[in-house]
Amino acid sequence: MKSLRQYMINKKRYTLGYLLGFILILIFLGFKVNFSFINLYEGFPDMLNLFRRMFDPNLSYGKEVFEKLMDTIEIALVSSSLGTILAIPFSLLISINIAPSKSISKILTAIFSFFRTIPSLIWAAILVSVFGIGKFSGIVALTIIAFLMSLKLFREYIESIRENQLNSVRSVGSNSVQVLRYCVLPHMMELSISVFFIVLETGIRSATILGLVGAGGIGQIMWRDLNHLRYDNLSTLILILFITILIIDLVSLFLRSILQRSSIKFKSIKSYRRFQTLKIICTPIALLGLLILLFNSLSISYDRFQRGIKQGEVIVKRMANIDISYYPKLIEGIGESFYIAIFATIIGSIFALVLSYLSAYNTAPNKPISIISKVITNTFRTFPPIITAIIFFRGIGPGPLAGAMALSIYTTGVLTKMYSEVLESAKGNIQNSIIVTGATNFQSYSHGLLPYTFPTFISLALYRLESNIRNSTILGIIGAGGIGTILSMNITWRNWEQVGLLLLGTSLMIIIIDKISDYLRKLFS
Amino acid sequence: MKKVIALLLIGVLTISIVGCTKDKDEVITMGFVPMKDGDKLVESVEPLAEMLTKELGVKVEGFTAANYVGVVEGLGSGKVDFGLIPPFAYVLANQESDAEVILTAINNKGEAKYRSQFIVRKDSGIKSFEEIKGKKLAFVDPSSTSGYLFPGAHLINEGIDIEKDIEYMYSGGHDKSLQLLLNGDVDVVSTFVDVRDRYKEEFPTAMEETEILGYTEYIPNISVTTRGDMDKELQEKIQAALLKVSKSEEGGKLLQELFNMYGFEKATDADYEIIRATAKTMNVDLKEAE
Repeated sequence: MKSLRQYMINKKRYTLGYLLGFILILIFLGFKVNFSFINLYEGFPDMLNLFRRMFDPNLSYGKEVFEKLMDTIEIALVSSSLGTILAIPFSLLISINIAPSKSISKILTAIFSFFRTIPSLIWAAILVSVFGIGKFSGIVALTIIAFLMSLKLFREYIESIRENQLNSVRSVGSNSVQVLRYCVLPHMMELSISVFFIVLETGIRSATILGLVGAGGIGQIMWRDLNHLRYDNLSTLILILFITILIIDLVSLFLRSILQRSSIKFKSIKSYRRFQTLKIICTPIALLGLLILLFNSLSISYDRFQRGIKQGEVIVKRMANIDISYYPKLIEGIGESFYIAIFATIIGSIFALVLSYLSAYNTAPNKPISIISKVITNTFRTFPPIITAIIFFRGIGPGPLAGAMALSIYTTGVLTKMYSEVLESAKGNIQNSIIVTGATNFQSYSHGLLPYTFPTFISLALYRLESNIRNSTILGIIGAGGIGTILSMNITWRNWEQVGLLLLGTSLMIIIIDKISDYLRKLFS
Repeated sequence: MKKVIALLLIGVLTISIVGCTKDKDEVITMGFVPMKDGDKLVESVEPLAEMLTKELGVKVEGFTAANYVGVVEGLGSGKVDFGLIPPFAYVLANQESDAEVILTAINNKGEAKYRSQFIVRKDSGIKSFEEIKGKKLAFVDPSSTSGYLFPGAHLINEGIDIEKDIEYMYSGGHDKSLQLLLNGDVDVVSTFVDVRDRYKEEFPTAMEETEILGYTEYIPNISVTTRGDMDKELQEKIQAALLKVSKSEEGGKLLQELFNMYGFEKATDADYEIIRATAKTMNVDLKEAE
């Protein structure tokens, strides 16, 4: 029997141990990204100067932006719908609990998770090299991203369906099609709406990056303004983007609440049956119609498509023939990307923990603070990391620190939004049960809500780590460290053998991190 | 929560210790932004930085970036001391922070300038600039000197209104322009000389299928630009060091092999005036908010 005293001492030791380990990791990472407070402090006025130049939006520029924005929305809409629709049948094939064949599921999962590690910018760059520039390449690139993203979300959902729920449907004698029809699909229809909106938001964000490689949309003018150092125009663009994403958020919230509430009243069982048969006939036709419509909007001739495929074949063949001798560059590049991503995730998490406490309405000391911190984090989230990286680059000069700081800020924004939503959806009695003991609001958070939601926080942070590694590959383009510099240059030079090796290395690193974070996630939950 | 606060505090402290222990030696930072229309893929400027370190007696740290915006901003804030940057980037840096050009590179033809070409498919029947009215044309991208500014200005001087007389798009790369042309997506492209040779491995038929319609004006080569607030003495030292390195046997060879540069030549702002004039013809608004 342990005494309370012993228990407390042990607990203190553990905490100290964890702290020490954590600090050591932080110091190590700090060294790796050349962290320096002096540099940051000294560079602050320069950063502020650039930021101030952005604070003068050129609103007369709005009209040109608006046209391009419509282009971008069209690209994002078409690709998100295509991706989500295509993902549904595939998710049925690869989810391990309902897949017709386990080995097919495993092979497909491996292939798709490999593809998922390739950043959208790289997809677009390669597709542009195949099909030429313009909307088509952008749509195809974003469709691939949307497809892979929604596939993962669908799969995670299907695999979370409990075995006994499936078995109960099987036990009444239904075949696998009926299992799908009555157990899996009903939930998926609802889910697909929210998946669609998640994918759409990502699509619009990615579209800004795709412009860099000439894949159409708002990104194209954004890169032009950036390259002409027109920060006033740039901030107008970011502002418009911010509003667009806000509107999408609202529309998605609205649609989902309508879908949840609405139900059709039937007068008799007969009319209900008629409705059901009608639904079964109409849904596939509607889906097919939508697909044809979407494919039509791609506006590419069959002839042109075939020529593209032929050129794509050459590229893929050369990429498969990887140039191993190029590996020193690869190691150097992914090493730096890796440290940048980990540093950004840890720093971002620490700030997000504080900011979510301040911004979630049920934990914030008062309403104004909650609103102010919400505005701050949303601003963090809207600035594309590459723009923030340029601001830091101006302040602290070249090297990985600029990239690491830029990603830290972005991570803080995204993570705060996600975690404060988790806090807000936590049940009130967790907090209340502690407040009744006479604890303060802050204590009710630190002893009630925080321990309760911490596993979710860790899991969210680990997801950010994965996406940070992908993001860190694009920062190199402006010289902010990481693998991006050589990757983008080799694509420009069409050195596909080297590109193949770089992509393979990046993918391997991301897959390994995925596995580790999967393991950690299970450990914490 | 005490734990979390303690953790935060300790974390911040440790980072600050890491930060403060970094000794601040005198370092000269050199940025390199390869020109997309350059002749060689430059991945590492280390060897050049080492030679300059020896020559100057101060440590020179080099880095490469695929895009010039970061370097131009770095020159403006003094975080980058000098850079080898494309001509258009120099004009921007000069306007933003009075950065000064000290040298320009000499190419394998012994010239400090280059130009770009217009190419068409042989079967297109286009023989003069007059005939490209109503046709489709691909520029590279709006910030490209040889793929947009100069070709665009050339067309304007030929009496073609780019907004009305032709249909144009941006391809995102000289290689992609060539590809668009070969695939028949566009009728005319403007690229550096000679894109068909650089990418002959991937587009072996380019030489026989296409022909040159004309050339643009000459464009000044890549610039060596120093930050605006650098004192004259250091500026001259860097200039002399680079000239000396390029003339030495070892350095000259290195420059040729790594960058395909055949030496440097002194340059002044006036050499780059043509870029500004061309940007004006092309209605590229370089005016800053400030």
